[in-house]
Amino acid sequence: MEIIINVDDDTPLFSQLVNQIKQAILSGHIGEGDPLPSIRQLANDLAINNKTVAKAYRLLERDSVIETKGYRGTFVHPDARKNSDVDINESVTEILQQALTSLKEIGATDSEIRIEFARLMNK
Amino acid sequence: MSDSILLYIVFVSQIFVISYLLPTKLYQRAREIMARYPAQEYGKLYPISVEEIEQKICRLVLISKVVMGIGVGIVAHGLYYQSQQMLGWDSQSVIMIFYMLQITPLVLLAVFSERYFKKMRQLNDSTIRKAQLMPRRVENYAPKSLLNLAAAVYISFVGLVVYITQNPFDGFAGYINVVGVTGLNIFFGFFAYKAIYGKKKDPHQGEDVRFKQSSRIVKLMLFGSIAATVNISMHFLLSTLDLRHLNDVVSSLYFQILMLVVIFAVLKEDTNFDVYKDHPQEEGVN
Repeated sequence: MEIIINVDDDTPLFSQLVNQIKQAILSGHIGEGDPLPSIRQLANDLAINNKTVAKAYRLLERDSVIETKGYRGTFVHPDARKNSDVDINESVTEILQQALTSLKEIGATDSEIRIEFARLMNK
Repeated sequence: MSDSILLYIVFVSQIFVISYLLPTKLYQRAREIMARYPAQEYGKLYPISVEEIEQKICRLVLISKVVMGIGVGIVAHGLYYQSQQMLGWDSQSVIMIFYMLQITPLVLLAVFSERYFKKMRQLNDSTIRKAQLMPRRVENYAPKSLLNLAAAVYISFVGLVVYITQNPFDGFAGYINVVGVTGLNIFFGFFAYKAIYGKKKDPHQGEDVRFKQSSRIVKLMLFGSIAATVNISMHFLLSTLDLRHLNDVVSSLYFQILMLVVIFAVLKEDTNFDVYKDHPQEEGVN
């Protein structure tokens, strides 16, 4: 299974990696329990920074799409197929949208929302 | 046949193989590639001008010729003065230093290749990057039998050192030898590791060609490890059997075999040159 990224694309590289790995799992190109390349190998092959691949792997691990088994390496999670369908981004957008609507209803201005959001994010 | 004649015959062979045959074959291979895949059609293959490449290759061939001249001089000196030891000094040291001189053009070629590929990467304007979603394993790059053989040879060497330590010959360094050979194997292992997991040097190279190339390097490193360990073991055995005078011949033969394997590996290399076309069409291995 080949992974292809476009460094000129507007989508961040780590998102491209996350999407492609999820797609590979959903299409059955890689199965649950299959080993994945190491961060360094994938970064070297794609000629991108190790941190970018590490970030993609971290997000996939958080979503239980992949799992790291110590020194043995990284593997596709046993529930990867089911978990690959869940799009955290979609949920984030939905929840933020609801919050924004509520804030607008109580009369909060854009700048008040932005300042408070930035403050909370920096906490 | 007297030992010194045998040594000079083997040494002449070393001059021929490393300073004549190897550079000639490499030069022919480069000329053949440049003729078959011209810069007008295969632009990506030439990050620098053809003239510059030819100039660099000619310089390396010239260095080889100079080294060959030095080799002929050593032989002439030996024949003229009928000296038992090369240059009236220690033959083994002469063979070793001469070998270092002989491989200088190869080291320079390796440096040139690194810069060549770096330039190739800088000029590569493709925004598409590809990678296999599969971990790489050493056993995919070399047959298990070769890996086991390398391990067996190393273990046998350790056994031999332990054995000789009980009854050492004059000048035997003991367990330090194990440290030295282990270091040598780490050196070979490092290059094998770089070939498997390292960065892709050629940005246009396809995954199949890269796999073949990495596999060839790993096998070469394993062969290098086995050959070096066997060579040192041979020295110990010859010294133990009071045949120390044959050590120089064994060293020279070892260097030649090593270089013959390199020549064979270079000539056997198959590259898909279609990827270097300015507008790649169909993929095929040439």
